[in-house]
Amino acid sequence: MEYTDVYNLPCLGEDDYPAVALHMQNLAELIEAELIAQQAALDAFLEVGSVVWTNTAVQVIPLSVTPGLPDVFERLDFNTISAGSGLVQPVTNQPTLPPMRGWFYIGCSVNVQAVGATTANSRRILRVQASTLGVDSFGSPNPGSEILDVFDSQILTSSTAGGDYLLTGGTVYSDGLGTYRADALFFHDNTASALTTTLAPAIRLFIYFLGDSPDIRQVQ
Amino acid sequence: MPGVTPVYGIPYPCTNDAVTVASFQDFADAVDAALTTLNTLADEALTRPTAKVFNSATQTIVGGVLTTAIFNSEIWDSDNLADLGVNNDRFTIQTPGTYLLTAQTTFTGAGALATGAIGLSLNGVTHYRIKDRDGTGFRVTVDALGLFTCVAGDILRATFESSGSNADCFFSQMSVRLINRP
Repeated sequence: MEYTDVYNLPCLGEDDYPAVALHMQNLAELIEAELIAQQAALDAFLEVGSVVWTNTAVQVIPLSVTPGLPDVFERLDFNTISAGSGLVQPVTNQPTLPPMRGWFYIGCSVNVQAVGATTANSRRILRVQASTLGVDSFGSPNPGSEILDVFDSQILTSSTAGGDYLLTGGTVYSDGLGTYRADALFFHDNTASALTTTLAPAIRLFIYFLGDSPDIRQVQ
Repeated sequence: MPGVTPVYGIPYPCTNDAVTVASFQDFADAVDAALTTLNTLADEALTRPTAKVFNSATQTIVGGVLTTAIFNSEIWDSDNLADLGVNNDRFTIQTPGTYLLTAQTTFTGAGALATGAIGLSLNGVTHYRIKDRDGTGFRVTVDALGLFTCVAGDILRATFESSGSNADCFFSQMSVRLINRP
């Protein structure tokens, strides 16, 4: 019996002809096993997974201006998965990174309007953050949280027409071992009135899987 | 009666079967068919539906009016997503799945520009918007991106909007890429 160089498939030798049927069965099963492995790899590559959350209700972002640092952020709520497929998300109103190692892109889009008057040149900041334990009700990291990454977008308001639209995001790496929250946080210092999110366009937080990666070692 | 493998159905003779030339031909044909199936998947992975369009001309928009972005050249297109000769403002989805749509433009105000904004829409419904303003009041570059789950025939577009002034939109571009299958 001889074997091929790469996949180790058997080739009949002169003494093997009496058992040719058995060898063909063996060869068929070996070929099929290799084909199945390759199909699984291709399917995994083509179904990397994505998820989009939204909120079916508007959310008021109250006046919570603080003089100086730290700025106080309001955590934005989500209660519905509206698009995407292929990523495990057991808790729909608490976006998390799926329990798998690799690179993810997380992003968020939100439209906010002043409930009453608009304060000229006041700030609106949208922050997208991935962390182990998320944030408390004031938008501050819970004690012991590990912040994977933070992405901010800011606009100084200039008009109330249509409100202000913000969108930000970036790439984070997860080791897949912990439960990582994906939070959208919002800050404003519109002293004249509170802000509210809108339903059209709705707030959206999205995640998609970019790919696996070998363990990352930090170079000292 | 020959046996077959459970997934790809590769036939092989059983112990008491006569092994003939046809046995080898059937075996080879089944392996060939299975490899063809895998090649289709590999091609799909390597040529994942994606397209990018660009506008080398200036698009003038009226301040305060939501205006559909238009384009005049295809940079690439692997799945007939763009047909600018018929519709110069859209990607039409051919392969179902979740897509990443991005758009970018630079707004230059005819007067004092307050803000420039981009919206991304699916079948006319805006899902993502971003607005920005620039300290000079005359020029602002805006980027937008978002995920959309689509079926064949769905239309993805971008919209531009300025406030404070009419604006010219320069270097407008829009791209789309399949992220994952349904």
